[in-house]
Amino acid sequence: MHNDHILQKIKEGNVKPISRNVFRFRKVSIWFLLAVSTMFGAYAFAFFFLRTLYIDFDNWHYFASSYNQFLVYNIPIIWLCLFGLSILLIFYLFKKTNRGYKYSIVFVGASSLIVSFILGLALSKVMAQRGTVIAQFENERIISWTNPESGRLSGEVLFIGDQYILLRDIKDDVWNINTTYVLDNSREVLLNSPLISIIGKYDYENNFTACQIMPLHIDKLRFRPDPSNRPRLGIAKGNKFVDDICDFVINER
Amino acid sequence: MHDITDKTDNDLVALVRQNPEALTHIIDRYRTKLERYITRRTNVNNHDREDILQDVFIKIYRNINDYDNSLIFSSWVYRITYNHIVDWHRKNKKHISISLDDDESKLIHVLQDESGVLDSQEQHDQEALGLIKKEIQKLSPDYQEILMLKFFEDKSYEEISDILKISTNSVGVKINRAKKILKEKIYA
Repeated sequence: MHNDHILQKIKEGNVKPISRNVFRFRKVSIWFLLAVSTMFGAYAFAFFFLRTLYIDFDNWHYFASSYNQFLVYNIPIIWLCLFGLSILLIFYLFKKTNRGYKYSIVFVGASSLIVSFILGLALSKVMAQRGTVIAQFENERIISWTNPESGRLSGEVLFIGDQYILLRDIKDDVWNINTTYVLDNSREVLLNSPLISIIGKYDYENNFTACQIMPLHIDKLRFRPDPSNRPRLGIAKGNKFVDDICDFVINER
Repeated sequence: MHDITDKTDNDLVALVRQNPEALTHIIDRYRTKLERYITRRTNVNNHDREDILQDVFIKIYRNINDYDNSLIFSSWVYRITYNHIVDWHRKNKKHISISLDDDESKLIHVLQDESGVLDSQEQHDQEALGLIKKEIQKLSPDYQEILMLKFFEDKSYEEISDILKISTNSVGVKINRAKKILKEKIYA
């Protein structure tokens, strides 16, 4: 092969070096996508983290017939999947950078996970301070505690009587709650907590018999009753665990 | 033209960016090495090899602005050649198998040194060479490539890492694994 052959072919084919800008654009695009994926991963993690913080793990038996069923219904799996996808994308894009191949798979994988994790925690703090997402999660928690047919009710205490209380729920309905059977510690909760959740029995329209009263750890300022709020349907209507507790409490008293 | 023997590869790249004619110096510097590499990697006749080589140099010219000075130029040239050969194999649907010359006994000596099974007598070398050729060709393309770059092209781990775009750790692991497989087969 003569060198002239190649040069001639270059001339004949009008072959020209690809512009530097094309390569620059490619590099910048990869880094831009990498930054976007990292931010998205951080957001997905922050959302997952905050949502998980607001899951009522301690009271799972009031919501589902098994712990696994409770997890399936409550863990934000979609956000977890999106977080996983963004990690894969970060990994892929980092490997596509000029020097990405220099680093081992484990290093790149672990780094993308740690970076997203740290940024996610920082972002979750910012989101928590702003309160909009938190308000959404708190609202969801109240809604999950508003299913009278399944023995759950929550809301703001309006009035405390001897054997009853008046409660405003998230739909802005006022309930008459019979507190004859609740234990003394439940009465203490009533005095100290503006927002409460109640385990009990649905009697008839806007009447409910309480068996146990617990504080609802939610900022009262964010409790906004509205008729347009639609409580979620119960996972298991007529929760046996709740029925057993109520039967026990009522019979004992 | 100026005397280019004392010019570095990076100087030549700068020249080519200004004047396409300077590509001839890069061709002069790399033609023999790449011819040998292509022959080993493709086992094709002279005519096809020339075509491949010509395409490789045109690719080098087209992508000259993508060359980053932090990389050894020869690694970048080999990377383009390697990628072109992979494409060539894909287009021609041919299984990658390497061709070994009789003078390529470096790998045998490495295996001898590490295992101590064969002595360094010439008749044993010749016998072992045939066996090694056969066994290398049975290895997966990944292992073949990496062994060839290390023992036949005399590339360092760092250079192989740049050519194949894998980490130096992976290069080390793959070389050791390939040598182990070879030793097990040859000395079984």
